[in-house]
Amino acid sequence: MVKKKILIVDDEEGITRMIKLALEQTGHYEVTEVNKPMRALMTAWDCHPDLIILDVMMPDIEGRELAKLIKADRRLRDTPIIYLTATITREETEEQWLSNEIYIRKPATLPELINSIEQSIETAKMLKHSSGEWVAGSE
Amino acid sequence: MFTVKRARRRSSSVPKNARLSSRFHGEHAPSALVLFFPSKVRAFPAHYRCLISSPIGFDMPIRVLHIEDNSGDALPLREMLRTADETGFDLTHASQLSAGLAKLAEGSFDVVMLDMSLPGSSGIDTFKKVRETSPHIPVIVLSGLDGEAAAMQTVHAGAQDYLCKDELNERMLARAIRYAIQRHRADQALEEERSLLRSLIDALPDQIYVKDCQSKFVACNTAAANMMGLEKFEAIVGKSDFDFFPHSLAEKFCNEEIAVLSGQPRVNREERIESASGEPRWLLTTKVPLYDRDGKIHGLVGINRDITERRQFEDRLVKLHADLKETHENLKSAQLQLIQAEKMESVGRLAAGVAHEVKNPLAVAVMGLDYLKNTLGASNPSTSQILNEIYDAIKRADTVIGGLLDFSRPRTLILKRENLNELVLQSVALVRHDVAGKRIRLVQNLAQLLPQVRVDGNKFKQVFINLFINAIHAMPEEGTLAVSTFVASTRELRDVSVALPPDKFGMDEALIAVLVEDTGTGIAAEHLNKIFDPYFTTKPVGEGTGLGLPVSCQIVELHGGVLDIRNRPEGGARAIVAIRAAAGGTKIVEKTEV
Repeated sequence: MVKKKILIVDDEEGITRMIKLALEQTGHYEVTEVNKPMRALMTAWDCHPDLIILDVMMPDIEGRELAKLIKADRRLRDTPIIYLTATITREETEEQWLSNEIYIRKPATLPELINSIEQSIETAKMLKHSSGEWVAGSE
Repeated sequence: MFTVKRARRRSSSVPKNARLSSRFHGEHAPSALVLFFPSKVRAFPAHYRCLISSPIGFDMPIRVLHIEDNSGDALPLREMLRTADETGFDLTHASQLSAGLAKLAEGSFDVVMLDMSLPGSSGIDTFKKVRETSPHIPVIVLSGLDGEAAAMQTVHAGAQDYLCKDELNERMLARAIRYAIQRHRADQALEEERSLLRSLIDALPDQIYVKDCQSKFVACNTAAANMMGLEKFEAIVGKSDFDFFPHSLAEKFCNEEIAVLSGQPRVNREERIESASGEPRWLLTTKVPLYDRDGKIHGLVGINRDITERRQFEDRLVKLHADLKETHENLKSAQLQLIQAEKMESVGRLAAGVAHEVKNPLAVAVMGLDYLKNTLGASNPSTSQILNEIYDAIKRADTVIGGLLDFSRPRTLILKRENLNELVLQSVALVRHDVAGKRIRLVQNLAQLLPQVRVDGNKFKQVFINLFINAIHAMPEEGTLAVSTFVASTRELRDVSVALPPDKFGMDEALIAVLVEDTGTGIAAEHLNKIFDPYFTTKPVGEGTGLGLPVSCQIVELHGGVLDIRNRPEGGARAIVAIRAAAGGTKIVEKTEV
């Protein structure tokens, strides 16, 4: 089985390392860490991830800003994104759920994280197959 | 001869000024007058002074004008006067009416002696002509034996006296003249006094009236006549209150007057009436009985002061005061909200920062735990248990941080269907820290099936947390904090003395209630009515802001509910939050956990 490539961008090394360890432990994922958000695009071009996990609050560039750059990039725009955040409440998570963006509250458990990853990849695949141009998330 | 004598009398020892001012009235101005017009006495007209003067003296010759065509009658009269008092009379004679009237017009006389039958004029007409020329001089009519009836007529018309020429003698004549002058002056004084009093009474803004024993008006002043809508005050005579006021009001006045007429005065009562034009007026009324010489009550005097303007000012003042109070309350509440909002905003910023800083390490820990579970979990049962314990601990820390975030977000009222049980549980989780280290038992008794309510969940959590914290602070060492939720009718709640304003809640309406009880110190009696006052706190500095309960009360009231706090009979305090179920709130939510 081909391992899914995950790119995780978070300025906290502890988090990226722990998520990498936990995800790779399952044997289904290959995780690339980026702790300097400005290098995220370049790394993504190199590793062609199936999904990108973005921390929302980062120095230099916010997660959502970074997401805009990714969506604007021809090579990356179909890549599903999920956000990791420490500062939103349960209610807000529910609200953003509706806006087609997936937010994961820190601290999320491994099953929660895997669940979100799989769901996003599935959704992205379905949309890609159903229509070439009409891709979810493109604004 | 007369002139010499007069000059002599004038140079007597009496000072000139005093003589001038007291031509008839003795040497001193009357004391009552001095009291009222101390500086005006000299300038005051002579006839006012005689109002109160004691017996009139004649210290100068009396100037008599005798109008008589018959010199056979004129000469004896002059002789008689001279015989009676040689220097006491200064007689001027006119043989015709026209000449007499001319003299009267140019000279000053003290008395006129008028023959009734003069050529060209006779009887009452003669008298009237003299009166017209000089209305203020006393007239003594002289008649023949046959003219007595006509003479009587002149007395009715204002002549001071009549004398029959055939019966004259010296003493009688002198006495008649002096009496006529005195009487005339007394009459005049009385008239002037009446006129003065009348002017004074009419000038008063107060309404003054006199009534008889049947409560019928006898007299009133101009102000009273105006109030009754009368053009002339004379028109009031014989009328009663029933002619001016609505029946019920007139009846009330009459009943009052029965009491006054039995000797009980009414002093300074405020009464509302309607004026003749129908506008409402306020009167300050005084009614006192009027006694006759024998001490019997023969009527009453009423004095009304129109205090409508005063009352209007008072009313306006009261209204202004109420407005001011309301504005003040609004300002206070706005200030409270601002303070609260600012507090919340700073707490919010702090909470967001804390959450970010704490949640990242928690995320690391959770991921690490998951990794370890997969690696070590199966190897040893106790390892697995330890990992679970660690996970629970992290979860609890996360709940606290999450609650802090929920609690502190600046927001307006976001109404959602909520289950109070859930809100209570979340609030309890947030105060667990405050219970730690004390022997406080936490008892939860949440209704199994509780209809949903439509509230701002975070705000309600704030309320519950405030109530819990207060309960915990009331139990410094140990006690029981019990929280229960239930459905109760307004009747049941009122039975346990929950104050439900009748304008907000019906007689038998189902409400959702949360009861928070403690076994603490209770609320001191003198503090009971202050607990909802902003900034009132009994807690030490730094522990209480005095805003918890006012804000809680405000939040509950914003949701149309009530917050009622009382001492429990068995000790400690209890708080009840009661609120209506969500509209169409048939959806029942089962209790999540106990």
